[in-house]
Amino acid sequence: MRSRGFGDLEAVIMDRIWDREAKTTTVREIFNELVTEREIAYTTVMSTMDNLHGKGWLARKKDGKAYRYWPTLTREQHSARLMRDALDAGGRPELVLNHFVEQIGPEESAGLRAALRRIAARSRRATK
Amino acid sequence: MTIAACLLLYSLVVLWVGPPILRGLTRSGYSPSLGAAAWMTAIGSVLVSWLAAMTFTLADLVHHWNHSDSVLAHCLEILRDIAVGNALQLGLLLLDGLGVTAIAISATRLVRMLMRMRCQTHEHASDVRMVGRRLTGLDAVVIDAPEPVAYCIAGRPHEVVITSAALATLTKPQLAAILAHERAHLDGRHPEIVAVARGLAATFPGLALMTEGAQHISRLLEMCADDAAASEYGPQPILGGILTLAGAAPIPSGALGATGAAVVARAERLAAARKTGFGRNAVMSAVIAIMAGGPLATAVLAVTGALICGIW
Repeated sequence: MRSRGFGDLEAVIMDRIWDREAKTTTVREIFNELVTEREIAYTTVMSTMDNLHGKGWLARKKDGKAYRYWPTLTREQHSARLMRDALDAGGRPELVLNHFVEQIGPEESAGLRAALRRIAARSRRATK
Repeated sequence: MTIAACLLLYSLVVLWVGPPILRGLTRSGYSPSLGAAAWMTAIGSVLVSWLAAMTFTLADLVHHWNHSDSVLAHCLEILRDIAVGNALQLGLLLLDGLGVTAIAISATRLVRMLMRMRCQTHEHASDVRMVGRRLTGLDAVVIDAPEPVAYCIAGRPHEVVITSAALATLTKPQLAAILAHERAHLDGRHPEIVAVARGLAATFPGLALMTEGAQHISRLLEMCADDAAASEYGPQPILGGILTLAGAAPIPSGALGATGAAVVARAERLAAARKTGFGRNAVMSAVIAIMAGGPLATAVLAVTGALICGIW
């Protein structure tokens, strides 16, 4: 498996934030969690979370001297959005994905599945 | 100019006879990599002859210009041409200008579209990396979603994406075969090829070679990836994977629905025993060779004056 480089730190931090129970978090809290597993500087965590805010993944509010961060959308909301983009080929013709099987309109999928089942059954009989 | 005219003529011939010949040769999905190569060579040879024609025309115009003493003299020359009834010359010159402009505009549109595709696709890939989870021992990003879906994205780095619903319904061998299928796409640079083919189809919507070519190339590359997976795991797991995932996540109504025919053809192919046929391979290789050498041969023939249009 690919090792996670510096660019993936954003993903690691979002992972942590999404999996937390608490509604909001601080750079200090995330840093305290991460520092037990890897060598990392407080300022690195701070600038990464600042980047995530800049890119729209995190929202924040000043709380005393520090910011409190929270995710703008849940992981589920993001997943749903990505699947909408991936499946709605007509809506985003400029998104190039190689689907394992083409996406089929609902009225056609029943007929397609029946045809495929016939082929698979025939093929299984042949190999037996 | 004569060389350019011959090259354009050649491209017209390929545009006209290419699609029916290639359709017939590649319909069955026999040897899909050769089939995809044949479509790509045909498209490439048309593009090369256009670019070469444009280069020759520009060189010709510049040459013409340099040999006239001044712009004024050049204009006078043209007027004289008209006066003596040499309208053909002027017409050809105008045609040259129009052709060069059309090619330049199309190229710009194509490049812009490819850049937008790249940007959107990379953005999707990086979002997927952020939102998805990694499971140990699985060379793919898992997205939690109720639709059973698997796909790959070209990006930096490439990603294979699979949803939690697909993981839940697929058997282990099916999953391994599907991942091998997607890896074959990425290793073979299939997403990039499909993107260029689609970009060309959108840039030249009136040319059957481009629009049909994009569909055939993507259909044949799916078969290539199926073969790669089948050679590793046998045809049954990949066939089972198609059966499990096909039509399982109907696209939202209103979106463009692909026909199921291509998916059925893939399944038929995997289910059928492989037939060997050197004949068809040889014909396909010959077609590829002819089209790959076409623009060069045309130019050489034009230079040596062996073609009828060389006499002009």
